[in-house]
Amino acid sequence: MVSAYLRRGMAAGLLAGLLAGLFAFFVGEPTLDRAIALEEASSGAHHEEVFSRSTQKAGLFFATGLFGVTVGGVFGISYSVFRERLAADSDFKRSVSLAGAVFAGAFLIPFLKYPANPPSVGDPATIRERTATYFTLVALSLLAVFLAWLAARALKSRGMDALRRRLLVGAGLVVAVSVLFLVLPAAPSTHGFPSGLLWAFRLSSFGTQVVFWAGLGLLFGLLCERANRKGVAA
Amino acid sequence: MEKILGLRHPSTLPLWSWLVLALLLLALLILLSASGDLLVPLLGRAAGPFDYLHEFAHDGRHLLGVPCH
Repeated sequence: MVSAYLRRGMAAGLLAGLLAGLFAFFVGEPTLDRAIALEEASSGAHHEEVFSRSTQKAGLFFATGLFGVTVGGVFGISYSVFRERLAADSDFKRSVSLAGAVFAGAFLIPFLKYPANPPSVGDPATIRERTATYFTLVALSLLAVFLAWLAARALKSRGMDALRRRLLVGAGLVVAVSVLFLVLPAAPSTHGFPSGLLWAFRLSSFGTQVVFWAGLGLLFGLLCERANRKGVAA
Repeated sequence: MEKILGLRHPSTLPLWSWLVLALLLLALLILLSASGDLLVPLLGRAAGPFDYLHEFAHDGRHLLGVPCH
């Protein structure tokens, strides 16, 4: 039943989102604060914000939580479609492998081309273009991962052995991603933003997403396994 | 396509779940990309309140790696 997976996805997503929020709060916020301090020092004036910094930090949990619920819901519905077609032999393994694949397509590949930027790096005049190209790359990366999975299935059904199949599909994915990276516009310049702080920020952003997707895959898998044990019709 | 996917039926998803899927993706898009500025062409003056959402979700958006100002 789709509704049971949708519910589990939203529950697992909310929890994973709040966990990712905790990680972002303790690891990411210090670098974000330093970036904002730099921004204010360089612009010379404290410009009036709609919300104070402490309100925005509470908003962090709102954002990651809402992100978690919505992504988790989409994940749950997708899982109900892919469940019968994934090679893994338990709901837990299937959940973790689907989460891994979506993580690669929705975050990891786009991140390699357009890594996260702290405040003050982006040029407000180009936000529309940057947002559009970013989500274009997210959609195309997800498509590339999906096609790689289809190709792997087709080769498997033709009896190709696992090693050759993985090498072939892996190479194909690398080529497809390289073409995407070459065709899409270059990432924006960081305009002399301190590279150490930039790297720390990007690592913490990467970590936030890793915590989220690991949490989603594990928690969703656990919820499915628990339902299986209880004998609830899936 | 159907054959490769191993689908027995053209669609295994009921209609309502497509609707939920669309709503979830719309909510995600508004959360991750919306400033009032981006929604103005779509909503006109009603886009104003989204500026508050945009500012409130500011830190989360940066740390989730989505482009921001």
